[in-house]
Amino acid sequence: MPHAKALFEDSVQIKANEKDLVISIIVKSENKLKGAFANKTEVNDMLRMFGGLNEDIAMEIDIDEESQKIDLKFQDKNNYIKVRDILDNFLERIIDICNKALAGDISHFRDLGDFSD
Amino acid sequence: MVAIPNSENNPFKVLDKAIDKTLYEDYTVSSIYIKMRDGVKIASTICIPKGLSPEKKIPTLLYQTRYWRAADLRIPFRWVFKETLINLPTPRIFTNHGYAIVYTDVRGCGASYGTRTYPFSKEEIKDGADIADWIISQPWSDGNIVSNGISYTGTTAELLGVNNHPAVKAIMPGHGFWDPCTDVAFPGGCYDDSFMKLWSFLGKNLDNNNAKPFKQLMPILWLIMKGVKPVDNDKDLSQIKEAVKQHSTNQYVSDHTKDRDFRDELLPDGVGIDDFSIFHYKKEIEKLNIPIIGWCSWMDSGYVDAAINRFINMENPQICIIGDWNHGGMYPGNPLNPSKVEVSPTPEERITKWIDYFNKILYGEGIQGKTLYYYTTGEEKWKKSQIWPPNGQKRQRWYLTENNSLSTSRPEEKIGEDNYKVNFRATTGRFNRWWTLLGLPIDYSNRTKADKKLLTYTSPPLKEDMEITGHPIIALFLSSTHEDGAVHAYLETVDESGNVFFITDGNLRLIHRKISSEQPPYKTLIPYHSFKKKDSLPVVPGEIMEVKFGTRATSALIRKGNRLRIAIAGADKDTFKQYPAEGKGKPTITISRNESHASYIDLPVIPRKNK
Repeated sequence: MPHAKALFEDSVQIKANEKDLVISIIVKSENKLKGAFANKTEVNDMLRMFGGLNEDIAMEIDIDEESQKIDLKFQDKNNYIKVRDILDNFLERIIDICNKALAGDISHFRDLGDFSD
Repeated sequence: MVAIPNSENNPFKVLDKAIDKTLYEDYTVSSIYIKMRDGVKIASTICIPKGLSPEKKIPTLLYQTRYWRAADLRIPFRWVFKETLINLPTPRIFTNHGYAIVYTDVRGCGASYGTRTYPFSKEEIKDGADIADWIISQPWSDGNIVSNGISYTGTTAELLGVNNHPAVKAIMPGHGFWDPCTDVAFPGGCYDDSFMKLWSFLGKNLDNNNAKPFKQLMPILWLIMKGVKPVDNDKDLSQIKEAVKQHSTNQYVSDHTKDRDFRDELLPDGVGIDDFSIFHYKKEIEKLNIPIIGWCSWMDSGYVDAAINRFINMENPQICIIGDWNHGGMYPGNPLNPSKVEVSPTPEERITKWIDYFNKILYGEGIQGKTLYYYTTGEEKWKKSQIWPPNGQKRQRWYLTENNSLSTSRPEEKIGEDNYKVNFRATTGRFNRWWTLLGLPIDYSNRTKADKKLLTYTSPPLKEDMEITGHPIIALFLSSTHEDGAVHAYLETVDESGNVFFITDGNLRLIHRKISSEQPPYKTLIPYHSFKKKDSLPVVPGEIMEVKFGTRATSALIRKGNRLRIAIAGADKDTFKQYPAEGKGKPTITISRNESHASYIDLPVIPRKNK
């Protein structure tokens, strides 16, 4: 996964608007992912898997495939802050995952117990 | 051990027409279904150089895999990476140099429709011809196809040759088998229980489009991808669901082999393990004389012998490369040089060189005759030969003698034997030549400790450097207290500080010890055990028997002052099935080393020329 850092920093922008309680994730990519940009379940999964979100948070998720933009809209400022904090170091965590994948993902085999279906 | 620069015989340096210009900077990706002759739809991902002009025609690399041709990435990875991310190194290296790539999920796998009863089925092989027909009908195709791949995909690359499709101009099996019975499932007649079980487990989950096992085995990959990539027009995922539903009747080899003992026991549909071997299809693959570029490594399972068997048995023009890396070439695999932390060549360097070879075949003088390039570990040097074994090879016999020694003098004592109570905890670990079939690195750094559980015989310090290149042959006169058992023998070297380094190994289940007088199904360089039921010999407790077998091939330089060692085990717990089975007690093996029963190892030695 060469240049993961540059790719993510160039392609994914996260903007937080405290006044309107909106967080926007904007993807700048030459090739639009038509029909495959994102869905709401995936956005929630992303926040849980890569952000560590471990509770249900009330928010409206607006996905605009044309402009490749996701708006997370909150009524409650505390909820807004929780998600904003999660997204603060989001790209660093994603880049870290890429680097670990590149280094090889094999350590778990050493301690693998018996396994079954 | 210091690496010595050497390029004259290095297969990654020999071609003079180095790739020096990039033709394209990026590539486009599309995923579609290609319909086979029987209506089964094969999921295919096509990478085309971006900016290719409509009138330009280019050759195609074909990869047919059972491990997902492309990944359905999770967000945010999907926003940045292409679905071909899992095809390492990037397809960009090929597309940038003017090659199209077609990746397919073989039938019954990934997003393809159909079912599979066993690997490399006749229908799966025929699919290659249908896909080749489709490729050459595309407007960008120049009518030339090179089949390429590693491991399973390497074998599908080789089996494409069975179809004798005129568009296929070269086949490049990387780390593929020749004889699946002895190369992977039953090396020495001992069942590779761990790999077979894990491989089937992974295969079943891949075919069910279930990424969950990765969460346990490769959690980072699981974070990045959630399944196989559906084709582009499958917006509601109905097609992939239907395809995966068809996979529910797939069958998996471990279910049909785990309780087997013999080569000739059949799998479902009356198929035997030899029926999908490469040697079974030798004549068909030879028919069009398609050049073969085979590559592998000394430390990859029994696949190193596959590379050599292909080289000595197939009449096609060939380049064979045997290096010092793991299965697939992502990590170094050189137990004699554990300080080597980077694989050489890098995957990018390797692939760039493949383009040179392909261009030479498609547009240049082609490949004439056969050349085998091999890397001598310990010497850290590439060599080449037009024949195998190389010219000058001589056998040097070392006897197992008293005081756990190895000697070139035959024992003269009337009595002499050593007892070894089999330690079923003995292991070569999970980073050995067998587990690397899962793409894992090679690590034999524990041999000093591991040998304490084994019966060892060690030579005096060598007076001169010794190059061992070829197949060592072991002959043991032994008896056992039990009716079943196995011998695992490790050829090692011990340095002046007492550190033990692995060179190679061989093993044999004792019931398979009969050396068959029949014609082997292919030319072999080691004693021929058929592993068939009719040739099995029961072990009579207490009766001395001759157990003679070859190790996997090697090329290693042992430096003057170091010693040779044979370490003998009766089990390798993290890899092979236990013989006798659990609960039947621990055998004691008695190895004779006397005048009438002189156990020995024959080493294939290449004389040194004042080096």
